[in-house]
Amino acid sequence: MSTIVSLRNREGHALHCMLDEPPPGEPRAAVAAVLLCPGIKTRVGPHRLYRKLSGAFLSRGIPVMRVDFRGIGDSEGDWPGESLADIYRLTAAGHCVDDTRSALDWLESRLGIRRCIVGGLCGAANTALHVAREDTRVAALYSIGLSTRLHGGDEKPAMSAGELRSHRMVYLRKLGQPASWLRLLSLKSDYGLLWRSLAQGFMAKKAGAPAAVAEAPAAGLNPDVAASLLALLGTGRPALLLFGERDPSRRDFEEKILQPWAPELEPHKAQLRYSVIPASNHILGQPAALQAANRLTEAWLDEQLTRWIVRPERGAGAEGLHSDALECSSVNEAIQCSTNES
Amino acid sequence: MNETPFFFTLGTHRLFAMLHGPPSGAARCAVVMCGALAEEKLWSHRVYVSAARDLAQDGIAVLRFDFRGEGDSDLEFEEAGIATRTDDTLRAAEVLLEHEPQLRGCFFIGHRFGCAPAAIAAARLGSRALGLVAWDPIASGCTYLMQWLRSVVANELAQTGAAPTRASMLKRLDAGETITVDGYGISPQFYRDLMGLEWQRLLEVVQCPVLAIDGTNEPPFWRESKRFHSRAPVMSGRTMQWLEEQAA
Repeated sequence: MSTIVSLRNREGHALHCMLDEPPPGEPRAAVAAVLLCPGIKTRVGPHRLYRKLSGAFLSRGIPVMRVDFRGIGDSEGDWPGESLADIYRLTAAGHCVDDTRSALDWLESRLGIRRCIVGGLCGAANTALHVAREDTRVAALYSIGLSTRLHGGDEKPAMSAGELRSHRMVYLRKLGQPASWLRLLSLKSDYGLLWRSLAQGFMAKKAGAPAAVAEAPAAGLNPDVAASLLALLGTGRPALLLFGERDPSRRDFEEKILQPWAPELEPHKAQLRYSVIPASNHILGQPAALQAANRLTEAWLDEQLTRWIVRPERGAGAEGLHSDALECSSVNEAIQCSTNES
Repeated sequence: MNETPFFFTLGTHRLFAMLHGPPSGAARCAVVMCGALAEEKLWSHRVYVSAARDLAQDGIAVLRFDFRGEGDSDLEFEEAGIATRTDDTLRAAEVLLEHEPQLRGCFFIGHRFGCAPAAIAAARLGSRALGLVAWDPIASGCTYLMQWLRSVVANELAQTGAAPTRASMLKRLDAGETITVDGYGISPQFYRDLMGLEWQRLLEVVQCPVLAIDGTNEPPFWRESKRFHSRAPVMSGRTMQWLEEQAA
């Protein structure tokens, strides 16, 4: 059952959060999960995603706190700007770190919970990475669709090779559609994108190796992601990174983080669980994607957080990690997958 | 700020609500806010919060709540429809008037799809419904559903390069299946609800005064855009002015 938690951040704003706890009398874990507001979609997330993911934690005795940052959802305070890109950029740069720490303070002072699994969808995971660098109460990173980009700056984020390839496929499919030709001839098409996606295909063929394209400078890359991830892993803390197969963030992450940082990530591969959910988009919008995400979460909790959690008697989730439904489940496999795909 | 988050009950279900009260003293007027549907509600959320805060500053008590199937309220999305949302709205009005016993009735503000349950609830509440403000009401549920499906297909195609066709989704709905759109399950019952929704017909049974504000007066803050809309100055301003007139 959900309980409303209205806590104060360090500037005095009321942050209205929701706490879901295991049923009374059930064993309690020594950790809590803190799911942070993704972008502007409030503490429930798009299509109430966070509520749908909470069961995996609750079944292992882990309370789940869902947090609305200042200026978002029902909470007090305001955002400094009205451009969505700026909000994403500020989030990626750590704007919500203090509010997250206020939530951790509350869990520690009121419930005595001093270790938390922190994260969520997209920008929520970026915030969790920032917090983890300075707060040892972050026991693990729980990430879905982690963004590696910085939006809203002068520099337009470079599209990944995989993203350009996806656009090219869409354009090629539209060749036979009169409406698409009409759009092209009436100057409504994005000619820049059309050119970049077609040119990328041509260049890739000419070079004969996809790596030549993947090595393009990563404009708009968030420099904090790799550094924060390595800092987290370097202190022995685990991370679960879930991506939808069709999520452009997945290609970004593989091409801009996993591949170039493979040597640095290699020593930590036992702590880093990376999984791609087939046919899923960024928000895990289909029931099958949600089921896969829950299975993976349960398996990860059982594997990486054994000392803090309560194992359910039914033993659910053990089959989730290496299920046939998953394309990649470790860093090395992921790099291999993305390379083959390019 | 005088804001109280709480749950109210309807049968065995709990609904999340936020009560915005005047800074001091008793409220001179009360409003129940009914939000839009699914992602439209999430994009609009901060506009509702700001509007409720402005009204509260002006001495008006506002109850915002999550319909069952949305936000932090009980039920899954696919288990809820117009009937549950109407019951939710009536119960919200009851809760608000219990909190403000000095008032003889309340007003309703609906946004987009939320105008439908607000209108039906206003009709059922009789003389205790003092007025209805409709922010960009959905004229036709059928057109609304088609637009929703089209935008989801277009978005999915643009982002992932693959999407089911609108025709295939409609075929499944016609066959009595629940389909998932944007992560939201549309049940056969809700499909029928949407297909039968006609704003003008709903209005025929509403007895209280109605102010309908066309959505073209504001940027479409209920849809994804490059801006984060935290206010709807035209809609909020007209609502405030109309409520002043009605409450006078």
